[in-house]
Amino acid sequence: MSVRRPNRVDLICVAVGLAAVTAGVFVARASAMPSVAPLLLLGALFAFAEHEGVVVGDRTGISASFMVTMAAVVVFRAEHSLLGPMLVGAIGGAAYLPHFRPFDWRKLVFNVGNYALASLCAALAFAVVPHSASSFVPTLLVVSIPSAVVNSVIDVVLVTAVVSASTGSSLRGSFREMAPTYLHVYPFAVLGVFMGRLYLEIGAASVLLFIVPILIARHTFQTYVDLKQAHEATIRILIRALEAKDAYTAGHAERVAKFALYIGSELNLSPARQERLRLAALMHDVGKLIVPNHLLNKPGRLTADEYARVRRHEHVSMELLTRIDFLAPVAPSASSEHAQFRPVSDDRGQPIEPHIVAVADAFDAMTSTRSYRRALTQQVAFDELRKNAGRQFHPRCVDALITAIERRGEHYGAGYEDDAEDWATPPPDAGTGSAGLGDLMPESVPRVASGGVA
Amino acid sequence: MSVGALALVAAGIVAGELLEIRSERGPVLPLSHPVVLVVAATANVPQFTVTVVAAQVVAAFVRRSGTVSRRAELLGQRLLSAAAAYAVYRVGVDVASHGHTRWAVIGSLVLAGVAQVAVDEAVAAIRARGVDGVLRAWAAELALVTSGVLMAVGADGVGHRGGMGLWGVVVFSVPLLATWYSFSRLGAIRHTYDQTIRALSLAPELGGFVRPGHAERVARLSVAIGRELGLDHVALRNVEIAARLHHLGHLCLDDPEVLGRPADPWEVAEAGAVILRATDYLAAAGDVLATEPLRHRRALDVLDEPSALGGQVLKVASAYDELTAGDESRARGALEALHSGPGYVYDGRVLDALECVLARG
Repeated sequence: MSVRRPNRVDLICVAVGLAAVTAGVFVARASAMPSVAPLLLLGALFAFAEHEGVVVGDRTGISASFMVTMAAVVVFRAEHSLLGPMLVGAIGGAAYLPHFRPFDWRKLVFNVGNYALASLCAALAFAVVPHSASSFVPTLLVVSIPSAVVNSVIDVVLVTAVVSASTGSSLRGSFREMAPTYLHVYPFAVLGVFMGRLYLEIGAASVLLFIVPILIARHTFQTYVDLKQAHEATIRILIRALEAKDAYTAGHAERVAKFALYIGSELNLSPARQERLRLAALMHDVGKLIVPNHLLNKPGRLTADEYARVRRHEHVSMELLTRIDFLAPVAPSASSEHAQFRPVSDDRGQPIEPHIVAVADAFDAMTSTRSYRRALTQQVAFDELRKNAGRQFHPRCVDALITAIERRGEHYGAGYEDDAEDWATPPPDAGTGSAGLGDLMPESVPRVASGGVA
Repeated sequence: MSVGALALVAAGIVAGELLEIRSERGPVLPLSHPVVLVVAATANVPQFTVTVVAAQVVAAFVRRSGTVSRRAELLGQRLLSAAAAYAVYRVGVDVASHGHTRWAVIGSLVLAGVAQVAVDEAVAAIRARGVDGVLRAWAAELALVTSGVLMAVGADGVGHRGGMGLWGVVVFSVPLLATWYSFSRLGAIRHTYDQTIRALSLAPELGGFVRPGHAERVARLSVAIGRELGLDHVALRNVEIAARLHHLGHLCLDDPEVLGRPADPWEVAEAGAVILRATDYLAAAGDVLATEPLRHRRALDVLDEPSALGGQVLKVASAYDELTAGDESRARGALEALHSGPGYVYDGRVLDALECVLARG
């Protein structure tokens, strides 16, 4: 694992490890020693659960070890030992083989410390419960909830801190990235409480039963990850098809997605909406698959027939997108009708995503060299967007894009293109106007200054 | 049973080990299994153990072929199946009736025989796909069985301890619900890919490059031909995907008027294959598509057999549909045209399979 800011990560790992050791020393003095058999069995189960964990995102995993923690909390409560759960967590964190090949002391120390501390706090939260309460099932269920929550919170806080330090992203960003998986483990935590109770009743034989939910949990988490990857693979297939056909169109889709996300984060859209926005932007031109290449790249004006053929692509985009369930919600962004901004007195109910895509689309079209026109400068592009805000483009989207780009200090357009194509006949500098299709249309058709054939 | 009788039976086991039958699905079964069942029914534990172990060890030495490790492996497998058979028989007879009623005896013998075969099946599956592969293939079944065990223990405990009644059922149903959730996600994954493939396959038709319904017909015909030729379900799926998407390449090439010539099948197939190879899921289908234009003998010599054969199936199915355009009355003429082409273009086996499929209607 290559770490970009070694010092901060090292510090966090060492701090967590030291805190765990200190706490351990205190606890060892104050509470009873745990008995060896459950300690080893539960420690082994914890390690097994971690081994059967599933990787989510770049650096974190999700596993059913939470279940074993809660079981340990219940089992060792009967012995009044707080050290028990701590040691179970420590064994589980230490016995994770992949961290030995190659040897990564940071991950080992962090995991040992994290699991030990979280388990200790869970045990403390559970220890305030009078022991007799644990005989009645619903009561046990209720009183174990604070314990589970405490464990989860400490784990989340520590992991978010170390992940954000090691990837260089913000705390909020790291938290959001891992958020979808936090709740997945709670059902197994509940199960763990009762597995612990079962262990107290029937002893070591229950170990066999522990294995079942660990494996099922792995399958569950894996399919969650696989579904997301299936969606990504689908998009990659469609973009690849576009790319194989016309390299500009695929690159354009990705740039539109980038600009759309700039606008989305300026407008503070929720992560779920931003994800849909990204899909909408990537897929809005997928219908261009059916437009013949020689029309996509025609240097001059299109004839009325050719224009009709090209415009069919919007209908095809809608057709393709509506046939794929997870992309159906973003189909409206592919149609210029929805993207057209019509000033209405109250548009709060309307989704803003198609407008965002339209603005991003137009901006990228203007700032890229096409077969019929060289790239415009960024300033000209901004002026053009402002000029049509309120008429063609949603004003908030225009403002958001300009603000976002200026704030990042980035430059696009003439002079800053990094992968301008070489054309057989060099395109004219200006002349065929501002935003792609607008000035290429036959005179009879009303003007639409959108990305169009861009 | 007397010692002499046991010795004879042991010799029977050895003889049975030397004679094998091969099941249609693959596992090799020895003729000794029934003899072992006889011993299970008639001998007590020490007699059974000595007889079977001795006989199998002798058989391991006397076997006609096999390396030392293979013989040791087989020995282990045979002992395992014998133990399973004996255990099942004993449990059935003792538990079911605390005695020897006829139904219990016969029923237990049947189950014991099944246990022997089950061991052989399991070992064959593990050798073919590894433990992981087998677990994955049987994941749904395993999840259900183990969830049931968990819930039953939760409800009633073990040995009158640990039972939690109905609460136990509720709490211990978590793995069952998780199983349901994860398998429905698997369904969603499959559904996503299916929809993507169908949408993409529609694109050339929406663009007017291809007759409507062509891809769907070619896909169905290819799967039927492939099944006739005995392709396994993975290969059939790849052929189906390749068939649905085999005209994708047309979208990437310029119009024939612009090119100045009709589209070269190589270019179309290669362009399509490039797109399919962009993801793991479609990569194998991409391989099938890439081999489609190849002359059949060259394809089968050079490439991995299933994908090459799949490519030839696709070529025949596609040519057939282009000749008939979905019109069944043109079937005879199309078949004649395919047969009368040069011998190296269409694979004879595939053409024969096509005829079988069409004959069946």
